[in-house]
Amino acid sequence: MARHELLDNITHKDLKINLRYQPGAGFDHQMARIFPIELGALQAEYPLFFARNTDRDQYDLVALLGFESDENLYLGQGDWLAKSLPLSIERQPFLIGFEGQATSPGSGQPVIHVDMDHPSISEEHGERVFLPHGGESVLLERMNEVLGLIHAGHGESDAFSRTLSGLDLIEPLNLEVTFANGEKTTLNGLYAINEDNLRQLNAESLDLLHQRGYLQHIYMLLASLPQLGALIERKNQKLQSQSE
Amino acid sequence: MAAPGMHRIVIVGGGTAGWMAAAALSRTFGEAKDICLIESDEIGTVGVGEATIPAIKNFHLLLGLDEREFLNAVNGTFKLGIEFDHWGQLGDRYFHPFGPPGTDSWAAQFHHYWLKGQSIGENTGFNDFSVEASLARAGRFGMEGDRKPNYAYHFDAGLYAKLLRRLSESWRVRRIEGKVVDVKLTTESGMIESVRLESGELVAGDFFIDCTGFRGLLIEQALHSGWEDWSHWLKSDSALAVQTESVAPPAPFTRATARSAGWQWKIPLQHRVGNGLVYCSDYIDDDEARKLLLDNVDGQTITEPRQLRFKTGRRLMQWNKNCLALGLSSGFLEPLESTSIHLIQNSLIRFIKLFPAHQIEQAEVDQFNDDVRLEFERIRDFIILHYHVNQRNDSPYWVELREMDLPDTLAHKIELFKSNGRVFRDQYELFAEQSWVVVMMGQGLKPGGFHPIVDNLSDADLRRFLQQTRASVDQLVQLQPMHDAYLRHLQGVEGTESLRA
Repeated sequence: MARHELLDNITHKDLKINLRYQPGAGFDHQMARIFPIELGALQAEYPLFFARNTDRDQYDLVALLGFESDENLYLGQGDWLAKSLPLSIERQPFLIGFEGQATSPGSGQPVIHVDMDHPSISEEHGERVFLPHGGESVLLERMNEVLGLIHAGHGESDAFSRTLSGLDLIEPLNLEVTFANGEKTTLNGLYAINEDNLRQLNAESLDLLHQRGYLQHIYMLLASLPQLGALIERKNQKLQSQSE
Repeated sequence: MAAPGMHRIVIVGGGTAGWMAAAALSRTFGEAKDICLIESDEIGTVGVGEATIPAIKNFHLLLGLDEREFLNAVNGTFKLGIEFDHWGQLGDRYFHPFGPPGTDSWAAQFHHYWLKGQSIGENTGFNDFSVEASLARAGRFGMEGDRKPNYAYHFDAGLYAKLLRRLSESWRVRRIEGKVVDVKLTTESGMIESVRLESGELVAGDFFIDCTGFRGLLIEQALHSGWEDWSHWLKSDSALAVQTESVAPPAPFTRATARSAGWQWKIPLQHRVGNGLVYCSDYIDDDEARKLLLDNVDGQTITEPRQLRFKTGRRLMQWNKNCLALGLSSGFLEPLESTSIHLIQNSLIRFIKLFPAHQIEQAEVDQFNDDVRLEFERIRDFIILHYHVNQRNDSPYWVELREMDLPDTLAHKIELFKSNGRVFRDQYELFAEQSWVVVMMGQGLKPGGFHPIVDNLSDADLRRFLQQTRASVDQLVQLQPMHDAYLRHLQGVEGTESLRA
């Protein structure tokens, strides 16, 4: 279980963050949750889908990063192998907590927590979180911004996927992928835009999607699909380097 | 007649309705009546994962049925209300809780205070003042604190019928295996004298209860009691039901999601989930409906989707001569507000209250039929309300529903609410004022004003009142364990110490 602490400049005055985008450094996840505001930036580098969040009975937006549960093909030897970074990756090891006895997500004041078990936590190496006299570092200022975007993004994401689901525009995807070495894998649990139903929408539905800014999101999702081929190529290169 | 008075009661058809009748009658009359139930293992029953409303607890009280024993026997879970998705407008979500929100004054219900609060910038959602809705959102359920939640259950209807059968048989109901092929009427009075089984056996009785489903073997095929069709208001005529494996702890509420030409239910049981799609076959064909349902369920399916056809409407004489129709033979309303079992229960209780002393008295029969008609019509209106008050333009289905002519009784209720948020409950009406309020507001109907008594409070006092109400709800929610922990506790898996989540 992760150890989440409320961030403050006394307890954490010497806290440093040493981010290493490489296997075993806290980023070994097959998917990253993303938010509508990022779709434009991410669609050129990641295949983007919906995934079912059964706890909340909702569809979340995700970027697919690998083909196994702990595989992240965007990890290099310290560097992230893409120009844009999903907010949910960038925020780490920080997260949003809620002050007071909140009964439900979203009630209470949002405050910054830090996951003290995250591999990037350090007291020797990395970037300082607080300045020597307790002020906020550039890193922390950026984290404030990132977490703020994520906080707003939860509601926007739910509203977006709920509307699409109500129009029957989300369908389950069963993808069989074959790699260059002949290995096969099946991707389950991903959902994509139902293009047949999208084509059959009437003018009123299109107008509603347009008014809410969702039409743009939908086309960004569709435009990201060729990135699945690019992700398979990343995997092929990994397999090849392993066999050499 | 062989026996004087109303001694021999014959129930035709098992299933939920048949066994509810058998249990209630045998429990009430004991050995004073000779009760038998004819059912055939060959005929399937319609019940699937079933959702109920709080009144079912009264029925269990009548049967002396212990809650823990009941829940364990039927794979049951608790239900705090229904969450409605996409009904008013795409993306909308509201909760219809079983209990009233906030605190009323004698003249004005809580929503008047809330409406005034909105007008002075208090933007807390209406459901945040409801204990039941807040518990549901937090996934919690329990009995801590002074204000107990109002609740009902979800359960497996097949297991429920089995449980009631076991009880009934212990109270000396005789079960006769067989299919009824003929109904014999007396020549002079036209009453039912006996039914003949496929085996040739004749079962005679003084009173008959028809639980044969839509076909109404006794009430309609033999007694021609008439049918009032409501499909011009409630257009759905088909359903597909499928069970899936649970992939998350059971939610303490039912979900009803509006779709392009109907709606989907999700009923969480302890270890599986009942799902189904209610739809109108004029707007969507069976294959499309099947894909739509299967695309929108979580977890592996356990059963093949099962198709049901129905007609929405009501038997004109639910009690006719010496025959009472119960369950689908008496009428059908789609389960949008989980009223199917309640209608059976209520008819049964009314019937027992009016149980004929020696012979059938027409005045009693008329009283019964009038009462059940009123109740049936009010529930019908409440269900139509969900369909009619919508702002959806994404399919012709929703547009037509918005533009259709309404029953006068419903049109009046909507007008009354639109002007100043008033709702009055008719006699015999099942759903209380607060139910109408949450559904009307949830579907996007906003009243033009509120009760003037609210102005007696200063703005500052009103704010304080709303904040205190909200805080007491939050506090109560915090006291309760998670729903699945409470269920495990009832099953005796965990002690109460570990209950606090």
